Amino acid sequence: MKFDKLYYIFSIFVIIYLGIIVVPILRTLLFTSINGLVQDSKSGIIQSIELTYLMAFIVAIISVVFAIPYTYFISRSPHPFFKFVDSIIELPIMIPHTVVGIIMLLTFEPSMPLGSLISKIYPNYRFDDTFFAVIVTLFFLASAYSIRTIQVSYTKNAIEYENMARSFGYKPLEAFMLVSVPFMWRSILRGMALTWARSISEVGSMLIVAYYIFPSFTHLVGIFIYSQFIGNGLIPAAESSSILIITGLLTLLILKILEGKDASYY
Amino acid sequence: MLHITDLRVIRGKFKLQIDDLNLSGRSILLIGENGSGKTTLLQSIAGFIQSSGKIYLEDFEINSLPIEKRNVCMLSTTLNIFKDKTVKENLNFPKRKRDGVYDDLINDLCLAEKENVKGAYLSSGEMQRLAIGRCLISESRLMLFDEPFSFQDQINKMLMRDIIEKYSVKFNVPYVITTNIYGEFLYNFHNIVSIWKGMILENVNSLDNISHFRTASLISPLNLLKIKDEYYIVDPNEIVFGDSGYDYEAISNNILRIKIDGNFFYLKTSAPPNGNKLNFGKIRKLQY
Repeated sequence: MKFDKLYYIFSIFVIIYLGIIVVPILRTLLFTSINGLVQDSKSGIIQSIELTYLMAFIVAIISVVFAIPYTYFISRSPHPFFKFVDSIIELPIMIPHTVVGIIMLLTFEPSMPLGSLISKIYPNYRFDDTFFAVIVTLFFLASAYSIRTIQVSYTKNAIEYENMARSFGYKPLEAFMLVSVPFMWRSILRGMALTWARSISEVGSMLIVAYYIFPSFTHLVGIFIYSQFIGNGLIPAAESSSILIITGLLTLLILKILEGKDASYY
Repeated sequence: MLHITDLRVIRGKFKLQIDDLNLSGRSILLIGENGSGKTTLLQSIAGFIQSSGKIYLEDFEINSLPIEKRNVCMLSTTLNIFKDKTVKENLNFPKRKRDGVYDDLINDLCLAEKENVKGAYLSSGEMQRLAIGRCLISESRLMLFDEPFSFQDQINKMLMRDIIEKYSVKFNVPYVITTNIYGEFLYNFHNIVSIWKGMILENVNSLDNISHFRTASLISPLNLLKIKDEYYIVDPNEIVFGDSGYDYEAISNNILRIKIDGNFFYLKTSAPPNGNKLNFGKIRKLQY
């Protein structure tokens, strides 16, 4: 196959881009020895990764649960007001993450109006350093990734297919589940993966709302590695980072395989 | 059968406005230029777009009903075939489906050999036939076909027209066809409705009763005349050859070109020309 000149020019950009992404990751992985990794695995990083992955997975699931009906609703709401509403969901992405932590405290702490309302319903309610704090804050920060990914796949075409299905007797929910969800499946997985990955990488807001998580006092992985770096220096932090990168790559690879080939309903 | 009153749809600058349209026939041809509102009207009847006004189907008001309760199927120009499903699965997709029809229908559609082929591997014409079949197998009270022959070759246009008519008669289900391709396959409709700029121009029961120049020009540009700012249609049998009248140029054995008031017109004759000039016997005046 013969490529044109533009192909070769653009390939330079691709190589530079991949270099920027891959070189630092490779450097970190090569910086540590196998022995170092084995030693570091006893530091508590594995428990921290397990907890972080679980929290991120819960947030990814919740995000998709909200993203699917959100996409359905917004796609069928042509009024300009809903375009404004739709633009709000990206706001959390641009707010500095330490500020997000403060926003969450201002909203959910038991001494704050909404927090005190929750306290009345749940008398032992507390916010900071709880699972709830982690999940609600990560959801605030990362759900937009699921929504936008799923939204892109839910096109005008999908609505036409749903209308066709409904004209043949299917109820709206049946048409949506039968026609659109199978097509969106790949996007749902991709949205979940993005939200999951974004949740794992979060540190700024977690430093404020959940430095430790009760009752186990386990750190989320970002905070764990940060604490290692502050307390013990670069080498153990690099070893923990390598373990995180390896497990992250494996998980993303599994998700990629699960996504399978493109659905081609339309 | 189908009665529409005070129907209004606004889409950007386009407005569909139908004050009163009564369609009593089983087969309805809806014609109009591109952008005249044919698809918008069908989508309103199917409930795919919101519209105000009343739509009565067999005396039941359906415009207040959701799509799935209208029992109206529509073939869209986009066809909406599932590419990952086989022909059989696509054809059996309707939830409300007529039993005992599948075997005959798939043969009628000339798709029996491709029963297990996925939608992605069909040609455009085959996909269109499949989409038509999906409407025919559905247990609908009204079938709407938007440009159902656009991907068909001449022989299949005739075939599809016959099949639609056959199943419509068999199950006594009325249908509406829109098209802007005209030909011999458009015969024998009970209603011919012409739409222009979102409004109904006329609703007649035979091609012979068309009274509007715009409608006639959509059916065929042949045998239409403009003489002294008046519009006419001339029957091929009323074209008379002799030594007086208009000069003509023979394009083929029975197609002639004449020039009247500086404009060219094309005429189809019933017999080859046999004189130097031509004149008209009885011509019918059209509205414009």
